[in-house]
Amino acid sequence: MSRSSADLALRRLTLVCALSVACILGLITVFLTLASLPAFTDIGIVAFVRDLAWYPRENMFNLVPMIAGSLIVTAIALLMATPLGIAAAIFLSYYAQGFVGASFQRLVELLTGIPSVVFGFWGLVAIVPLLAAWHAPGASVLAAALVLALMILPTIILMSHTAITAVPESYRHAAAALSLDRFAMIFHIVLPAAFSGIITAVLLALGRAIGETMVVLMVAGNVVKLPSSVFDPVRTLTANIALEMAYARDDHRAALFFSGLLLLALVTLLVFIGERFSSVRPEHATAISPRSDQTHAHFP
Amino acid sequence: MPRQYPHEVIKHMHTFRDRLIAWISAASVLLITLLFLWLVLDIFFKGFAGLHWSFLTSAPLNAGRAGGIAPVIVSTLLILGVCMLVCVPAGLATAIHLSEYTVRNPAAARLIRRSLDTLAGVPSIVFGLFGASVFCDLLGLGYSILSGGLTLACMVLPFMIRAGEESLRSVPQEYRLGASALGFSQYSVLTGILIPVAMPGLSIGLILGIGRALAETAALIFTSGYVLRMPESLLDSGRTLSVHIYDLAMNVSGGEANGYTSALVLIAILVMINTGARILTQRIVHEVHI
Amino acid sequence: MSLSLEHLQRLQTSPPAPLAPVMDTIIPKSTAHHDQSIAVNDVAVAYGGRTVIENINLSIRTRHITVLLGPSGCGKSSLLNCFNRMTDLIAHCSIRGSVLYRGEDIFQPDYDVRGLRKKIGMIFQRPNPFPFSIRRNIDLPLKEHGIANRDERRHILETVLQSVGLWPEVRDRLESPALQLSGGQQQRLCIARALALAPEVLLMDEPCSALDPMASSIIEELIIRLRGKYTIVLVTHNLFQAQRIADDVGLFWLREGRGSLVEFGDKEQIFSHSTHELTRSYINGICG
Repeated sequence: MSRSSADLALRRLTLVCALSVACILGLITVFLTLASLPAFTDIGIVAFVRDLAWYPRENMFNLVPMIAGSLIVTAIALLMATPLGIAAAIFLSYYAQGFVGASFQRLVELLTGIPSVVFGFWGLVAIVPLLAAWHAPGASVLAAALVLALMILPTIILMSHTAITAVPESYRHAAAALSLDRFAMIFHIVLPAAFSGIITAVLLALGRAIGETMVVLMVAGNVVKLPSSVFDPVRTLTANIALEMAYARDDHRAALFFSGLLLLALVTLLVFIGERFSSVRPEHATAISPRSDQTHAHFP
Repeated sequence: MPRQYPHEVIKHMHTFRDRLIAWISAASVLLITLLFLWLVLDIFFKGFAGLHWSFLTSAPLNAGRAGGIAPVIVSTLLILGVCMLVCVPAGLATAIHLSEYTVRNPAAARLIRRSLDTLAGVPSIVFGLFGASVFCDLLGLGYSILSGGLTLACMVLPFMIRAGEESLRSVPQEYRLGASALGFSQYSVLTGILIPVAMPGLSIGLILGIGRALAETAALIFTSGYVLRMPESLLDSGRTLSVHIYDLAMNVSGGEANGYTSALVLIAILVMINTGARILTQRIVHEVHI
Repeated sequence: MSLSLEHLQRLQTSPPAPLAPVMDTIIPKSTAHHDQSIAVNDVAVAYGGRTVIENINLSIRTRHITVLLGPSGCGKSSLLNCFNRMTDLIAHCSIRGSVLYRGEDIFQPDYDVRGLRKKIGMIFQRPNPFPFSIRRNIDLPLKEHGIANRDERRHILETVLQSVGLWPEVRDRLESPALQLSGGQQQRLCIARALALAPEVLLMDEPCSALDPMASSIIEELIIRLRGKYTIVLVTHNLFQAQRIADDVGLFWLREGRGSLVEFGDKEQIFSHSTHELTRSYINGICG
């Protein structure tokens, strides 16, 4: 019957689409690897650590300042954003009354939608001049970390808030019944119970911060040098790619693709660590093991 | 926000450290609010000064320092169009597969989901590298609106698929059973029942996907390039609003004022998009509760 | 279009029968082949290796009401789902034995399932009108089965809504959402939707159990009115409902964790002359 062959075609079409979409990740890995092959053969992995400096024109490809730059900026941003974000989430969950809580939450939700280039722009025209007046040159590790922290804060706040409100009410009743004060209730009961959710939030924020390009490109100063203080300018892996990709050729280009591959590996690792912490998604369980009393219908 | 916590139960035992964390968390919220308000109001007031209707409709002058953003808006729309032309059918088909066809082959579904989850976390600059090597070089599209749109599509797909899958999954099982019992073919169940019923959710996915695509910069700098002229074909290079803001801030001294106005335009569009999605969501919640 | 003509003829030539007292209904004792709509031969149903019902043998008489009776969880609905192959939609569900509809095994690999489901309509426990307008609920299946003429569809819409008694209630608001109807109205709409395809058999899976007593009795009267025009197979755990509407009764019970058919026969035999101990105690309210 023609209808059932149409059904078969539909099933196959969606499968082909799904598989091709699933292939994108593989394709990215393959093409990045292919494009960075000269980095392995011509330059050699060791050169990325051993070379004297990053002078692509002289065939010197020391990536250490950029890797350090990425890690330092991300670490400082995370150190600023995590306690602040969790504190704000606690406020939202336990202290905010009606209007105040709702408007704060609305503001934070609004900020999740602000593009990173706007954060970068604002950092460049508003934060950097202020910092420069305090401690030249302004565009620095500190500026990048500050703006980056602001950018990832909404993620941390909203996800931690969700994790905290997901803690069963009975735990809090039990805490109250044991006559624990609110401090003990929050720090010894709620936060440990919400730990996996909060860690997932922080890991997600970490992934976004380390992969972020625009903010650091615009406010970090982009000087290839290990920073000696937070007021020094710095260049990250992502900014390096964005700055040099337009004119990079041959080995230089391969080196940039290699740093992209490095980022990809780093973020994939974070996703895997994140999966360890987040619990199994419930819909998987029902879809895979249907029971007779809660049958999951699907197309034959 | 429903209040879940029984305040009255423990109100009488506020100790010193209780007051301390109350103060600390309130102070954090105040600090965050002030910073955010600073950002939002700064962009609003400085951007609003340059905002006229003509800003949207006239060509830029002097590398963007003066004049408007008409070609930027056209390029943005074209790139967005290319992106959605790929994302909507591919995303919908994948979402349909993940929500309707996975029971017979759970292993494939797990693989696809895992791949999408990872893809969603890949930094945008990496998508940019991928787009540059595949679309610009390998397929010979060069710096073009087509390359940029296709790169964006790869980036946005996981989010749209996730949203689409969730909304198809939330269609009650009874409708599938009812339609099948009436002898509907799978195709008819999909087009006649599932897609119409899931339409609000699917539109939210689409809207959020557009928002994400609009916000993107890093993946576009070296795929669609940053030519400021009015594009004449999909193979021309063109810059989006985000790239325009970046360029004005970094490469054009004195471009700050127009940068502010462009940022305001971008934020305004995104806020409208998010508000639209929010209203749709509330409508769905409302309908469910009738 | 042959489908609609056949169908209209059927609905029009047999106007709603006056509600005859149930006890007066004469049950023909014939078991001739043409009287048999569905034959179930040694059927067993398993979900992922767990058998829920087995050793089922029975035959459904054409244009009679067959009630599958028994406590919850003893596989009545699973059996009902076999008759229109809804079991295809349940993951890891496997069937043994054979189910014959008009003498043909419906579980043959190349059997026309869509045609089968057109001929065998199904009513679910919870009313499940589609979340569209009342008209579209009837129109969609008609379009699906190739009735392109709008006037024809309008005619069928009115006829089937008349035959479930919904027409006077909804004639002015055919374009309003079906989900705004009350539960009982929704269930009657679902029955009308099934009738629109001119089925021969109606499968009803506890059609009243999600409804309030008023709505429930309206549906029951409707089912009795449909007797003689359609072959009806109805699943229920309500003994009194079975007594009120059944021509034939199959009593199911749970034995060693598996559903099985205790006794099958016409109403007279099951309710009055049963020799089976379990049946008698169930009827007399001793167990179940």
